[in-house]
Amino acid sequence: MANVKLIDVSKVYKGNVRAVTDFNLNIKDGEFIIFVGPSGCGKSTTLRMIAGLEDITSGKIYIGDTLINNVEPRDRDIAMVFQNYALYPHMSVFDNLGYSLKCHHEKKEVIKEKVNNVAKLLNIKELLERKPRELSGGQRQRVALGRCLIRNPKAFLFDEPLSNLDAKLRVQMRSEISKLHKQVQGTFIYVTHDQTEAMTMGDRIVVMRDGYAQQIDTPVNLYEHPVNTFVATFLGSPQMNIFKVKLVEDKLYLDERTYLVVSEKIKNKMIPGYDGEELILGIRPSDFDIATSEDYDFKVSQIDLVEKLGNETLLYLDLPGREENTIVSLKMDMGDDLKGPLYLKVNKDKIHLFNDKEESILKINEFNYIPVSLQLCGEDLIVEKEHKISHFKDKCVSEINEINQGLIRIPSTSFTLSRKNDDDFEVETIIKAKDVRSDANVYFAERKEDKSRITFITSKDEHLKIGQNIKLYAPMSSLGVSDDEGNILMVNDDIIKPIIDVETKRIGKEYYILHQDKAFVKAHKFLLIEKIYDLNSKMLLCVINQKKEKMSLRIERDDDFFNGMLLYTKTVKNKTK
Amino acid sequence: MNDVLVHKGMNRKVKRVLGAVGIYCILLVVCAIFLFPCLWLILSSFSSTGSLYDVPGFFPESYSFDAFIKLFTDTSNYNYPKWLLNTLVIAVFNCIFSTMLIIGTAYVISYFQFKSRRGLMKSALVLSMFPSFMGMTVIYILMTQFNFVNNIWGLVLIYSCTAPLGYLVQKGFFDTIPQSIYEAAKIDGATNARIFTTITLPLAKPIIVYTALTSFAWPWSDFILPKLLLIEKDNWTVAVGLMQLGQNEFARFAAGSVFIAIPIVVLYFFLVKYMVNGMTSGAVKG
Repeated sequence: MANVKLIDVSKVYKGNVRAVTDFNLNIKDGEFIIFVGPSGCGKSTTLRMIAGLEDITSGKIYIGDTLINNVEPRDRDIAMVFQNYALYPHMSVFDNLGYSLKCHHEKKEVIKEKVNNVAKLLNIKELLERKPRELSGGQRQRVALGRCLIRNPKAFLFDEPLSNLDAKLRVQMRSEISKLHKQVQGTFIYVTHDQTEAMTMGDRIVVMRDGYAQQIDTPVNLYEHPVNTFVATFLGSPQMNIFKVKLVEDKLYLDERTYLVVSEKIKNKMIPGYDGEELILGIRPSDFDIATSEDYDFKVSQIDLVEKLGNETLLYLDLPGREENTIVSLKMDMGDDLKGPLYLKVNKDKIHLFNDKEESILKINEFNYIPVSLQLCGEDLIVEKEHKISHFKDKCVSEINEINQGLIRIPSTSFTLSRKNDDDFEVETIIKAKDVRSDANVYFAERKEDKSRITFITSKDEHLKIGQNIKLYAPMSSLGVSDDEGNILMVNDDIIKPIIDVETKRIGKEYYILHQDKAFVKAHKFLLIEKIYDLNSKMLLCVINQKKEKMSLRIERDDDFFNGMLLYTKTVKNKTK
Repeated sequence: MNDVLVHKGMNRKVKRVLGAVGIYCILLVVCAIFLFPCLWLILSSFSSTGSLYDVPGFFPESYSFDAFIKLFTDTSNYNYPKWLLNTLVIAVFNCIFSTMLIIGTAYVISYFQFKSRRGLMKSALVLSMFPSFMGMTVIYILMTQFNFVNNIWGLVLIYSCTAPLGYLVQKGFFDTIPQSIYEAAKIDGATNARIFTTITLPLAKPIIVYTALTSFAWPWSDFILPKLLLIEKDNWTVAVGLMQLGQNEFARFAAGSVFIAIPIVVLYFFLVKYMVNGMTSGAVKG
């Protein structure tokens, strides 16, 4: 078992056909990851590159700690299940299962024992003497699975293994593969075009389109927080309804008369600056509900079609802001009395908003900014007259001599509900809304003092009520400081003053740091960017963590930089600044 | 109502029977046309007089085994047993070498993607269109240089070396083996050589048998090259030797011709069970 790492992986076929572009992914040991997307999105190509059946045009793939770009498939120690099973037709099931062991020169007794174990695990013991052509589709797929299991490889690859099975068998095999994953605890990489398979089986899902990974997240997060309209409409059945709307203050206008009021929770998440702009609104069919004539969002006079699915009823009707039918899913038996006007309500906490580039404009704030009074005191900085940031001048990334007002920056993740240190920074808030994620709870609160918005993230076990008054504590070591225009003065306690201001130069796809000091260049052939901070509109601060030595660089802004990227170094002669 | 339905059903049955009878009649006629020369040859070989002019119609005047007996006993002028042995040796070795070379070529062209693969395929196709005797002079000169004239091994060499040009049928067969089987084997840890011996060859049994049969049968019927290269009587193959028989030896000629069919037929019946179709069925899909 091992983790699998893909760095900047691209695949270009003859005739400059791009199948996969700049694919980055770190698959953890024992994780069940799923590549999903429409046909031709590059998901199978990516899998085949991991398997070694396709060459990698550029980028690197690691299995464990080994770079496997130029390793033959047989030496990669992986196993793969093919869409069409690919059993060896002239061999019995026993020989099919034992083939890989034979290739690795195992002893006959060992092969026999292992084959019997796997056959027992997959319930195919009585089939061992048969040839593949004497098996049914489901049995063949089991043998193909067994061929993978027998070897205990570093990773299991599945290339649409269930798409040749009929619907009932598919559901059954789906749960069996999931159980198998729990049993063997292996790294599973699974390609499918079926979003139900993806949602039900994976720990994490990679949604792909046109060779690009659109979003990589847990099924719940993908469903609740899609980053763009493609992910939003691809996952979920029936698919999300998309409307054209205009944002005016806190109202979303579907046409001149119909509007939805943006809820407190959505307001907290919305990236500012979209007032007055055309937006795309997404509402899942299940987020509609029946309302009364007094309190409703939509009044519908005609229903085009009713589909009763037993546990839910689907209504097809016309709503403003959208040309096609809107699908509404109701969790109840509607009976036959669907005549007359129908009043509908939308769960406004669950709407999705996208800008004209189809990207989501709902984002959890990473940082909270709180206006405070600041005072320089020798080397130290005093916040609100009582909290001290010691050795501030060593940590400050720009030169300052005097300061009175400013903002402190608190990461949403560093709040605690109880005081841990005596000098923790205290914020009094009222909880306004809550967002549940697969790995954490996100709370949106209002600061009592100035009614500013505070976002904080807690572990899954913390359960707070909406409307509850709560005191939040942030350790001084997590705080950052900005001036009142928002320029960063101090990132946090960890980050030391930048040693070097550097210039970068782009050559092809690689960035080079130009530096005068030969010794520096020799010592650092490349630098790995651990984290990037926006200092201001012109400069970035890159935190470098190289050989356990931490430093930071102040670099001219470039939007192509990303966390985990490599910067190479180059000497320049007689550079004058 | 029911009567009408039954009547229509009867009508269709009659039509089907009539259709079948028609088809069998046509098949019988075609069969007769094909079998006529064979039958005539077999009957002639049992003719007692032996001369071509003594066969008045389809049937000879009198029958005997003389031709067959003379074929193997009277070896002073025409050493038929020696010719048979020569041809058998050439056929057996040609069968072994040609099959190996053709199967190897077809596998490489079908499985591996390499530079100039297409160019190689195209030139092989064009070259195989020229008849072999176009290069007779060159072959003769080459064989004198190698000292292979009047030597049956020279023939084995020429047959085996030119055989891979006819790889197309075999390549077509290899192309039908699904790529994913090879890929599965690669991932299972097999080397190319192992894939060839444990996956490709067992799956290719029918086409190997076909290739072996055709390369075994070829030397029995080829005339031009043996005639060119084999000079001494004792080195002749059956085809060359039978051609030299006198006009009065027609029964002997017929007997010799009938006899060479025997090894080919025996080999065919021995190998035909391997030529079953559908070896790959059950490998992929359901």
